[in-house]
Amino acid sequence: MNPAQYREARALFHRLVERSDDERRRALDAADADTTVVECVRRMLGRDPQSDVFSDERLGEFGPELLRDDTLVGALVDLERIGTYRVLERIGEGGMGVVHRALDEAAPDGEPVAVKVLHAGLASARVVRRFRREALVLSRLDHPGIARYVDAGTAEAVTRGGGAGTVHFLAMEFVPGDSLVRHATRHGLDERMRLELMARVCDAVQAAHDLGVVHRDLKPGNVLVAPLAGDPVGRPKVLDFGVARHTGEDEPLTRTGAVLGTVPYMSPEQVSGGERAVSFASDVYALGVLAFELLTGDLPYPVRGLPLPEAARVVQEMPPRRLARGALDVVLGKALEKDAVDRYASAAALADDLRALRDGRPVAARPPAWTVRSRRFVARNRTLTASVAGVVLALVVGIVVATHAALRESELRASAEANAERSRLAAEEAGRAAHVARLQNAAAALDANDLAHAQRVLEACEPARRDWPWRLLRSRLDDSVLRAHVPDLQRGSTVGLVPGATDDELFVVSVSPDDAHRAAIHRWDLHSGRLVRVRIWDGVRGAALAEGGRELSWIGLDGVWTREDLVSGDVLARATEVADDADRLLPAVGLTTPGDPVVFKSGASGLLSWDGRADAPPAASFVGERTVTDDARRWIVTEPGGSVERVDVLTGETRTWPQAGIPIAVGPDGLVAVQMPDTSRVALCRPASGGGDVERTMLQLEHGEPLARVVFDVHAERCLTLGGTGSLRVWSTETGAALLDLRGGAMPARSALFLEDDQLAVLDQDGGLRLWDLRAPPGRILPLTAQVRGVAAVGDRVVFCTSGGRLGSIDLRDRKLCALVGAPLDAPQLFQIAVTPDGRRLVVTMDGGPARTRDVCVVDLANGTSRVLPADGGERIGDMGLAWSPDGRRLAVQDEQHGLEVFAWDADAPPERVASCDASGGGVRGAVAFSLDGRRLAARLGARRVGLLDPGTLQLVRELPCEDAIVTVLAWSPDGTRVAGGFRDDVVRVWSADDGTLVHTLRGHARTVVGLAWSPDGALLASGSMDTSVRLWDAVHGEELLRLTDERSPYRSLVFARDGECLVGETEIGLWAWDSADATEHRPARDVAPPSDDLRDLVPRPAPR
Amino acid sequence: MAAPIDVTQHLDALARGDRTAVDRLFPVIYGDLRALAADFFRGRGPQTLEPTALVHEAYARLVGRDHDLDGWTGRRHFYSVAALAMRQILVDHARARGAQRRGGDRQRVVLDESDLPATLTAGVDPLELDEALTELARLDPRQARIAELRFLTGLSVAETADVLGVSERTVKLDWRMARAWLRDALQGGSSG
Repeated sequence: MNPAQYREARALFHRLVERSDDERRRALDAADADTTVVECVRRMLGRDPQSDVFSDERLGEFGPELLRDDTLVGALVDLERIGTYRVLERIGEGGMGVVHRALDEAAPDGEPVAVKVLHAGLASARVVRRFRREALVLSRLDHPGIARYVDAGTAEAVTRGGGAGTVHFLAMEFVPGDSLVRHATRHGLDERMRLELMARVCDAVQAAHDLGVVHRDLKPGNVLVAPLAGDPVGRPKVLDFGVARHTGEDEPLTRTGAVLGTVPYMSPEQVSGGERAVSFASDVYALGVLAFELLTGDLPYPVRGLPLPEAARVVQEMPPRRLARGALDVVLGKALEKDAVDRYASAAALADDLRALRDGRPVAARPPAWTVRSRRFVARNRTLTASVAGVVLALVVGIVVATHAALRESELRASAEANAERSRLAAEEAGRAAHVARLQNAAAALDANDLAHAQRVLEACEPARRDWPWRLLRSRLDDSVLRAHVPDLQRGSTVGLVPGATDDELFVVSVSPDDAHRAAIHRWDLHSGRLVRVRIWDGVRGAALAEGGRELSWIGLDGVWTREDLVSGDVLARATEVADDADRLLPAVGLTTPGDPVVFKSGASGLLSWDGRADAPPAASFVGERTVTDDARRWIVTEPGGSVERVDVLTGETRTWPQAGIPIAVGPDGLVAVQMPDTSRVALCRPASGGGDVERTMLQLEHGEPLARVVFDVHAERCLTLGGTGSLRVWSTETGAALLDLRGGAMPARSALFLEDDQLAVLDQDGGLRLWDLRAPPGRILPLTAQVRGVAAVGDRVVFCTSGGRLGSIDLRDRKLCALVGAPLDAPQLFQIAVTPDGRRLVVTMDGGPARTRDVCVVDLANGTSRVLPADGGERIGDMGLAWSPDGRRLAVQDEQHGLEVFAWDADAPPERVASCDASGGGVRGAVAFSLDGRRLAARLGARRVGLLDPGTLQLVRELPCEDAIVTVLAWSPDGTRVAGGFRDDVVRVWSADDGTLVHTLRGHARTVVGLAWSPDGALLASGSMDTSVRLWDAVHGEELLRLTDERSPYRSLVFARDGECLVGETEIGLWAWDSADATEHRPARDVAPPSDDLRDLVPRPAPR
Repeated sequence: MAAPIDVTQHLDALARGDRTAVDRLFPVIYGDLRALAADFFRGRGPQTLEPTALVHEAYARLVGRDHDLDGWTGRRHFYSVAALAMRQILVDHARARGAQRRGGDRQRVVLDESDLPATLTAGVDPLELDEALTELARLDPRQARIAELRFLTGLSVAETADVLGVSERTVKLDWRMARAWLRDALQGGSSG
């Protein structure tokens, strides 16, 4: 193959690699290229999906292994001393380290101990953790069948050659004996003795299990047998808890999916790599293999020498060898079951049966019967489902446990179906758990401002599972409101953002670093979002555009400085620089404001400035190699030979910088941002007036990761810090408070510009341009100043009432206030609101005059009329429950005085009370709810009772158990099968509406739950609490998915709007919205017209019929 | 340790297009990476032996963390030389180890084959890899560079794109092809 052919192959490969197999095949068959090329591409496409050390997930494994230095492993062999231990002999070597027999010289009369040593340098952090874990595990175990823990830590080791180094060590009881099988052979144990020996091993493993420790790597080499006086069977000692794991611990110590242990002794669940599935039952399986080997002299499967994938297949699919020895077959078969639930329930149970065999008693194990199995299977899956809550580990997705156990023919069919179903469920369960873990992982990364990680994790989520929480998190990766891409912007280009003549535009000036020295100017129309190239030309060393985008200054490779009118192309001034400097100048970026000199920075020759208006040659060459700040208008900072100086270009005044750190930005009024030596903090300093040293105001801003730059706004009231991985944070320069974190992908930013009208533009190094609206920040508080009191959703709008007695609505698509209406209610305060699904009527509660009395007022939005509901038998007081039936023709009202009432409308006739009962709901908002079919009403019956009622008669249909807690809010699932309730005891309870059973008890909130909302698909339940957090729950599995926010005001009402894409929460300080929408879909309105005061504009008008 | 200024000067020279700077940089970076690996085995230096960690550590030592605030211009030149150095180190190491094995004065005692953890079977001979990379460089120099940067220095797709000044998509596609090509070259005999 020659390079030309390879080029051809490359083009074909690129074109096909992301296609389906079918498409590839067809394209290859039809390819018009010579056979060498086609065959090469065919072969390489076949090589593409392979999993090996080249695979992305395993990159980084190759180097360490090769760099592993045998001589150093060798050095461990020659140890003379390990801390206070004097080495007597080396007794073994494994993957992790070397084991020695040694004497503790600090205890001269002591017994020899076994000291396992791990070279401190050899090990990755992971291996060290595993090693330490072993020590920890072992120190907890105290059983005569387990090698006793003595000591552990790090120590100085000395080799016989006189070398020294630090090692991790673990000292434990030295077992003078043979491995399990060899012991039995050497001492000529008969079968009864072997059964007893094996039972003793089970006893020891059971002891570990009793303490929650799974060994996970049982094999003959890890079971030594010490001779026992008068008992030829001997005392087995289990060693090497190196991969053991406490069942209560979250963190898997092995890399996810990495297979540890030794293949012949690994259970099917271990070889399939399902980290979480490894349990006590896996040890029972390994004991089964050991027993098989000890009793028959052979392994149950012929897997020695097979490559891992082959061996895994055999272990998963093949039945163990049959011995035709009756009860022994049954016992070993049960220990070696493919499915963990079919094995012995414990090592002790296996020990019991081994001893029963020894004594010739009947064994407990029975030959497998499928009816029993399927029942167990269902039961197990229930526990599996329940146990997923709180799992935080990333799991291997898509484990397929394709087990085909050996079965009698008559059972084959049933078992195949059961297995297929089981595989499917197991895979589904693992996939779902992995998804939840990823969501939580991504949320944590977002909270930590680690956008790159969050993005990676979100991208790893299976496409089919990308649900609302996923979309929500992804939207948090980028909350900019406008995006564009500067084409062909090379990495390393010098770039500048320049404000345009109006608020609606800005300019991007770039000069490429390559040989073309290509300069380009793009204009970004912030209204339409379009990016248009204004000019492109080559041979440019540096270019700058004055504010307003009109005057261009640039210097060519020929050393000619030009100032021209960008629009007309007229040259305003031109000068030629001193020839000497031409070859030493680097590509540079210019700074200019109208009336100021043009300044170019340069790495080699210092700073050159040129006053293009004076028509004079370039001058004022300050020597220095540091940075001219992008945003400096007057102040330039240089660093000649280590010391730091500030230079005022206008006056030529120079001051030495008196402190540590590097000034990286200067604000318009001279405020200086100094990057501290740890690179993630900046100090803001203000120069003293009238010369002299810099005054150290020293506000410190901690960005959290190394900073790339700092940009000030035009008034120096705020500044933006730009992190090396693309994180952006806006600060107040007065208080030093972090105002906002902006999210916009994970690209490091190159340049940023505050625009006059509270917007911020950022250009990243890949040419991505983004605009943030700082008024509608990523905190997503909706633009309200009034105090919101209640919220309801109608389509894309949220409707709310305010404490100031007004009704308003906001369109969630552009966050624009659509209407804010005072009349016709004329109430000083409004408290609660509910809107019919069609948006025709709404109901509010409002001041009823004296004390806490309130009126319930129904507003017809179509004609603007309103009507106060009659309150027979006394005033209504305090908060109430309000609920519209789905058809909007009935309204349920619950208050202290009147109990529960249902009002009905018929055409335009006045509302009529059709039913009432004395169930008091006083003081509680939202504790009454209609099911979506309108046939049931869920309501609070008393302080600690909840029931489902018939809305026509208000007869109790079914009571829902509350566990003596006080209910605060109720909500029906969209499909009407479940009801959720929020409670004073901080719990969310979910009942089945069919039989009233409690399905889920969701715990997590720290204070009373006051708001609940179901997503339209019924998959999610959102709860808001006085603890200031909103939590999202998987409503099907009853587990927490995400916590949305905290440190704000308590959340009251919650509603899902925009077809479930947006969750809105009402707080004391306004409305918060979590919207999964891609921001490019809509833009914040720039022309903020006053909202309508027409009641009819509150919700979209229904389409004409 | 080399004085930081040396390296930054060479990097600057490289940035100005002075290719001879590579020859001056290579020994410095090569030496430092080796020293780091050695430190590692003495229980000092980086926490892991992963190539990425070594290269980042070397960068921090030789250039300094706060150099080059503009981001990547210096770093990318550094990485491209570091990739070469890492390749040479692996080859040297493999040769030394091979020599030791053949005529070795030390015997490595390994227990039963089945005692080796299954993860440690990378199964790539660095000498063969070196040959394969040389051949790939003849056919497509950029793919060979991508393979070096990704595989030998552990750079991410984004970083690799940055070093080479090409788009991430190009890197992704080229990496997939280079990887397939290497697999083919290294296992060619067995696949027929």
